[in-house]
Amino acid sequence: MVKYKKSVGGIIFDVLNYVGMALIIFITVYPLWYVLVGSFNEGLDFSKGGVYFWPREWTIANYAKVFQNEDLVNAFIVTILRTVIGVVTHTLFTGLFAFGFYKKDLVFKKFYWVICIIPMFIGGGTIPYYLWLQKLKLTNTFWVYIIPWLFAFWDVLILTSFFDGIPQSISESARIDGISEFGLFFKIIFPLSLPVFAALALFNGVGQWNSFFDSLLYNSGAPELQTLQHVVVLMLKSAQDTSTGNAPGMGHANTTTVSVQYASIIVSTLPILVLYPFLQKYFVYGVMTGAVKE
Amino acid sequence: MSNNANKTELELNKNSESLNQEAVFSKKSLADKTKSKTLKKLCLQWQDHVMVLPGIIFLILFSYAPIYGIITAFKDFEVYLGFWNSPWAVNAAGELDVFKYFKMFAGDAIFWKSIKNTLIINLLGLIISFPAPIIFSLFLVEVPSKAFRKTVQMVSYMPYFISWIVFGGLVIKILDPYTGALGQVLVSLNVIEEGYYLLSHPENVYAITIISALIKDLGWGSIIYLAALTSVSSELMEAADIEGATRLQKMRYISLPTIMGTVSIYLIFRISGMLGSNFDQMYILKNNTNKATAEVIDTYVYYMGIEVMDLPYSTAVGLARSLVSFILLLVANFASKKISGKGLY
Repeated sequence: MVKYKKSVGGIIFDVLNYVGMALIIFITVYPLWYVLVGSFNEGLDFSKGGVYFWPREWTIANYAKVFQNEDLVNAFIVTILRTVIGVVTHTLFTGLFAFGFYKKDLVFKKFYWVICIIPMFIGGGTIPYYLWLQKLKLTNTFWVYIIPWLFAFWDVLILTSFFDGIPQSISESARIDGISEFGLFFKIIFPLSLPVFAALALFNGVGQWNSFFDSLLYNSGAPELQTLQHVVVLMLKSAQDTSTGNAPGMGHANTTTVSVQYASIIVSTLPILVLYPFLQKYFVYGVMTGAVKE
Repeated sequence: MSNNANKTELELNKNSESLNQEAVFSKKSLADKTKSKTLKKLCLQWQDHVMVLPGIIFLILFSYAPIYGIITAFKDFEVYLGFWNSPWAVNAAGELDVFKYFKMFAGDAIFWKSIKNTLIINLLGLIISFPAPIIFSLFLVEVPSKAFRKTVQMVSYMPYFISWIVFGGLVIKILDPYTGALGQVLVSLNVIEEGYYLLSHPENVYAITIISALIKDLGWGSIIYLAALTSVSSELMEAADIEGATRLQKMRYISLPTIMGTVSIYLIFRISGMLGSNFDQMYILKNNTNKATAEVIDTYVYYMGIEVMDLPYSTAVGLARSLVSFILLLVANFASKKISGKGLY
């Protein structure tokens, strides 16, 4: 940044800017902080109000209760499974495609391009897609979380633009040594492209972990397959409908479970919160790579 | 001398004739050569095509095949009969009326309400949430301290990674007048009455939706603009300094125009998405008492399709919506090109 002489106006500008940014930080973080604090506070005490920044009566009983909730624990396991399996299969499937697809003199390349581009603009819609998945017998299964997630052309675009940056000489000399294209991908190109794959895998992982719509739409008839977010929504909605009931006392009937609700919310987003500071640079890297392409 | 010249001419003519003949011959064999060349290439590249094939099959299976399901909108669809065997839509008098379901939603008051809510939320979002990341990034780059800048960035991205279920849950809980921080504060400041739950009342829904989306997407939306701002010409900035421009002036006349290209693209996306909504967000914020303003097209399509199980109706609504969105995309792109010369394609 260019150094310039500070004027009074400049100083006021900076001060206001700092204050504004600090406000933004506060507004962004506080709701989460509040729920975190509440989750560690004893239920009845919390319902009296006044706990804003730090637990008044420390307890981990709320979390104990969360893990006693069978539906939630089950959903937790389902969500972990779909995140891990989904990310691995997606990365493999889309990565291989991207490597074959990016070859410059690929026969039928234009044809492949057209097939890939059209779905980005035209789609069947929610209901036709639902009916089709039903027809494919994917509804009320675990695999509805994995198979439709295998391919994403957006990722292919990011990957191919990265592959273009890898010097051809590396591939050429490997081919002269007799390596197959598959071998080239797994042994050389993939390790070289690790940052991009990592970024894409993280996005995919967050998407899998946070997924709710497909669980709602396709697996509502199979409670044991519902994801974490889905179970949390059901819990929040049943509590909400009770507390927005008309009788004045109704809201209070649920307040001992408010802290448990808070704990459930925290648990359902825990991995993301914990891993976020370490992984956020990969996310930004991923967006930049996609953005720079534009 | 001239004899020689004539001779050479004759020879030249002969040569060019035979060359022409050769050319005709080699054109033919060139075509054959190209064909066999392509085939040869195909065989050499077999591994690449094997890699590509699963993706193509995937697209056919999951992107193209479902499109056929659009036919549901025109049929009296029965699940057990399927796409093929369900009869074409007939009206009350028994006559063929494939647009029956389109007419149905055209006469449905709740449908029009959902359109109204969708449009209001999106238009308000356009005025408030669209400029916000732009302004945020313009001011963020002006922060002198790199450490502080990085901190603000890191914090601002975080809500993006939380699901809307969780984030909506935070909003719901914090607004609770008895147990929520914001709810309690508002009650004690007498902004709201005791026990007044903001989300129960339709009139508050638009504001809550916009503000919560603003917080959630501010940081992430700014990444693109921050990247674009790195290409601001430092020479221009220096020249502006020499001329005595204020920070705000530099922002308005140098930084902002630099990112206009990026802004246009995202504006086009925004406009073409006018009839869409964030399903997760609206689903969680919606409840029995605020439905009048919280029901958007997406949630209504879900409700009619999955809860009420009126599949043709729901498909018809979705189809109509996609069509209009596509037209909006074309119009927005056209307008953008006319105004700023930049467009999606």
